[in-house]
Amino acid sequence: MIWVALTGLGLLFIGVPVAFAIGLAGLVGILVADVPLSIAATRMFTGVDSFVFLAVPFYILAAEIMNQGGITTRLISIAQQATRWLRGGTAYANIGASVLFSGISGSAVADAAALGRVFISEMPKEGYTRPYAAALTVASSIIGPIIPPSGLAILIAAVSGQSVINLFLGGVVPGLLIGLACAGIVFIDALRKRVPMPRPAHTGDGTVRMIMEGVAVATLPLIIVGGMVVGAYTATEGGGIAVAYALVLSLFVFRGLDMAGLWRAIMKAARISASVYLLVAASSILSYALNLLGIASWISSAAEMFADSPVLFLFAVAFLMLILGTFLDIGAAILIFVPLLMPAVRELGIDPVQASMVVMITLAIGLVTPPVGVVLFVVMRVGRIGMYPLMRALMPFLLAELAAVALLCLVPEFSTWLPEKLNP
Amino acid sequence: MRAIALMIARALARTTEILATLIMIVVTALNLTQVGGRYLFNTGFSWTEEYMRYLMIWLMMLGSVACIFRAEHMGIEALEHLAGPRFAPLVKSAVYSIAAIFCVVLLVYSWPQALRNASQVAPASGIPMIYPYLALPVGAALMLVQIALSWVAGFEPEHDDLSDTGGSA
Repeated sequence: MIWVALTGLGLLFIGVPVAFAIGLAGLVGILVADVPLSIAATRMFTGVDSFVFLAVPFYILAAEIMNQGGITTRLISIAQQATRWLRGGTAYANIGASVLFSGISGSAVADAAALGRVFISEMPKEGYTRPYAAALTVASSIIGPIIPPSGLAILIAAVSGQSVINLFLGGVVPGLLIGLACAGIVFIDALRKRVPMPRPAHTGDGTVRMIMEGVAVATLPLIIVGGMVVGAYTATEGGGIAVAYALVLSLFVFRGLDMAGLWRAIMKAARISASVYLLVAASSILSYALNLLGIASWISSAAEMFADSPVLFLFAVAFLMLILGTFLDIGAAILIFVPLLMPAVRELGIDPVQASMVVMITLAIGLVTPPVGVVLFVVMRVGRIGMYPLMRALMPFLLAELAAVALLCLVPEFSTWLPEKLNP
Repeated sequence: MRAIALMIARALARTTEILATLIMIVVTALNLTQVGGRYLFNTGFSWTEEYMRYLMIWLMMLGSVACIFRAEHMGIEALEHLAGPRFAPLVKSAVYSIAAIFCVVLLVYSWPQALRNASQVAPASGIPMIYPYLALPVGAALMLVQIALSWVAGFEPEHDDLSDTGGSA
């Protein structure tokens, strides 16, 4: 076991791409367990040969199409319009845009890159400090993978046998809770007059059109999740419908997309899907190897220690995932650890949806912290800002988000209420 | 020498990413056919799902070849940044060459696996299973070629790499 961990982490830190580092660690594990290596090829194939995983590329494609079609700038102006009258309005707009954006992309990195480019140059013009603008973008970006449609929810569903619908629905309240946590910090700063008023609004023309466009965008997640809830289609087919909807919207409603842009969007989505699939395939080699080496019994004996206190177990999981999330890719972490954790979760009588939300959010927080915070790096690059000032400005937001995580651990209803209500 | 290597590396990346893009289009069309078919004609096409799953395996292997040249496989790039702009491509080639060990193992073991499955067919669509299984050795071999070429030709990321949606995250 120690060799597997050393290989994986060693390769990861010298810069071997995650998928290959994980695959090689898996190969070492298979060698140590004295099983023929040929099993690796089989595991790799069966690991990705799944109808549920098939949903991921479609959501990636839908987001790419929306991006190329110039939807981001519209989302931002909608959010800004709504918060014009508040002190710190543009800061709230940043959070609101993340919530809207999460309904199409389901990716924190996409959210931070797209919104960061606009907000980090606009907010300082109103009087925010640059680190504050960047920190807020970073902090609110993790709403992206939590509110449906969510790529991470699909991954968790596929490896743990839960329904995608429940995980999609389960993410709504926790995602909004994270948004509220960030907004709370902005509110405190507004009380202390440390954030400025927004600049006066443009004249009212175009407002009606803007609202119509906002409604059109916000309809997408409703169509997808709604269709799945009533059983009209599966998550994978919902992905296809998301692509169709994004196409219609970008080609005919916003008219921001030409054929060249469309081709670029599909090609980009194809490459991203390929690298995600490779990661999934490699992870299934590693998780097979870890099982050969008996990690399951190790985990379940660790879980026994928490037998009389499931909440404590959730906190332990959250702590573990926070640490793992700081240096491990979030998709890989889910693929490797969720299947190991879920039996213990069920044994302790914890609702799997609640546990999944805790895992998803704590891992996502890892995206915004060093040493390996993908979102952090993207925003440092987009906003041309150093890590130290950014981390300092980020601290209060991170603390608020950790408080939200604690709430999610303590109160299962935050995660389970909506799925139980809509999909009993 | 470098010019030829660059030309081949570009051609290989271009070809594989175009094939991956075409597969993406076909898979999306099949997916919509599946939903449409169920509602319009009241028949579930059971074969569409198998086609989609197996095509995605080809997309994974072909797209991963292009991702090497475009430097899009996610990883920690601290060492490259330390090496400075001049040596960064060499460091990248070096770490990808470690990654190549994985491709070698995959190539060696997936080829006989494909042949073993030559006589089987998929239950719903009747596709001979050798076709999906062949994606693994073909892709692994092409990735090895792309990694070898990178030592001479370097890498060519797409310009607007900040719009990167970073996959599942």
